[in-house]
Amino acid sequence: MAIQDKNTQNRNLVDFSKVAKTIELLSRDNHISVGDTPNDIVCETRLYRLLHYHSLVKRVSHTPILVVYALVNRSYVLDLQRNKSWIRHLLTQGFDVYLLDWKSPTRMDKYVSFDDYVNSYIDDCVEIVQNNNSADKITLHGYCMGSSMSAMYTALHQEKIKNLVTIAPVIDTSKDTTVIANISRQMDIDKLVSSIGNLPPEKLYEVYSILKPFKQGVNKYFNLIENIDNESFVQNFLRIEKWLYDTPPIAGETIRQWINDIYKKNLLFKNQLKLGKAKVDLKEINVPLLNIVAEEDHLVAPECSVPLNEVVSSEDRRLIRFHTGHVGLIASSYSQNNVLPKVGQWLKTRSN
Amino acid sequence: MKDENNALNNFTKYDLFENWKNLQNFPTIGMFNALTKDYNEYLEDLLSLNRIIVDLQKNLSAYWLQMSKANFRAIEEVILKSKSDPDLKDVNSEKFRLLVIDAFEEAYSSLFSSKEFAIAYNEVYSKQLDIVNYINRIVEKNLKLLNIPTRSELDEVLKDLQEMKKNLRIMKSRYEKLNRK
Repeated sequence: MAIQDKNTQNRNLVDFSKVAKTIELLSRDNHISVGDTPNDIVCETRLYRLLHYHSLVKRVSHTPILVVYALVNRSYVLDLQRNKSWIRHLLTQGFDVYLLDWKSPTRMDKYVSFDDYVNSYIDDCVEIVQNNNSADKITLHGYCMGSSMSAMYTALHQEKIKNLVTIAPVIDTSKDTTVIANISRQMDIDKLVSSIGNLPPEKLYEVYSILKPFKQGVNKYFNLIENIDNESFVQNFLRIEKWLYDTPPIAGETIRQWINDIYKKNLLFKNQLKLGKAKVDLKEINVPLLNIVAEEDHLVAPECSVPLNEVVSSEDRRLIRFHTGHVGLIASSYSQNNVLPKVGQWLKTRSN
Repeated sequence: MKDENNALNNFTKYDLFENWKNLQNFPTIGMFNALTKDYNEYLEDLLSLNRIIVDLQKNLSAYWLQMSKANFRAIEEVILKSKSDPDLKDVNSEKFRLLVIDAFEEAYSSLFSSKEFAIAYNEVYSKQLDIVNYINRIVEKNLKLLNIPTRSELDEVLKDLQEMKKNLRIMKSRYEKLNRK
């Protein structure tokens, strides 16, 4: 330990040649390739695309999986690079995978609400997947906000769902201790929506910047300088950085409901959330449920996600906790080696 | 000798002002009246805008005060720890860098997780939105004068369109179900 400390102490803080290389790297227009797993666009509208991935091995499962991504940032984080791709791993396990990729709402879409997202867009995609595969039921699999929407959908259209797999869902916001929850509880979202319409990406970047301002915000650049000669590290850094600063706006009515009904009033957990005329009652869910949470999640606290398992009526329900963060759950070597094998195992026994 | 056919004869000093006033009050050509009315409204808007900017300044001061306090707490932590540990004397060492990162992370994370910060942060943003709203109001007034649809009018149209799309989808789905039967 003493030797290690001494080594650490003797290392120079600044290597100017590396700093120069880093500045050069960050100031040029880097081509970063993401989302490379081959796919077909099955359906495209103004607000979403439904992607169907090509099989990589012989299919072992008869139940197709529809992955519902969140409305923040872009869905290519699920297929960031070949050796860290969530989608590719599911394909190599023999599943038939579809991805619901949300597009950017424009000012025209200010009044698009969760009712539209859940009861129209997700429902349309579920029907397309059912028809494409001649399947009565499908597996619905959400990530983050997409998990919350998947849970809402399952509560309202259970007859079309065979399994529900959620990753870091926002459920009981009264237990969310994150900075995002803290800021959301005080936000005058009605004023924001009436003044500027949709939630602009800049506002999201502003909130991201205060999540882990020094350990991630500052330290990551020191790490980049140190590893500037490591091509693989640099490529990983650039991919994540591209994803972090690539987020669409969120439709006004949707973000109003997200902040007021879900974060401030906790209506989703209280089974009082209304989508159009329908009330979302999570107790109605009785399909097999796999809920995955990250112990070090600083975007959605695990305490906020875990109650999904308590509130549903499913007899077959499982909660798995992993020692990683929000993004580490889906786009890391850890996720490939620890999370995905367990997800695949769970799904295989319930997909025929 | 007075010419009885000359209408100008009836145009006394008093009549001149009376007629001018009547002319001004015609809704379509009473431009001075309209201008004066608008002038007062613009003046009120500008005064309110100034009031909001002063409030924003107050909120910004409260916000930066909290940020400065967190900064001081972090610096204090770095000084205290580096004094007590001889390994941390070299400011160019990685160990010192980690100490600085940890101290600042701790100070700012506890600030950003506090209710006081959330209130201050959102008050600043709320006042910025008030400024946007006042500018919108002034723009809307001009658009109305120019007979161009305003943002709030377009908003109504968008709302109706969204509702119509929803109803259309429901009708289509019902129709398809009926056809399947």
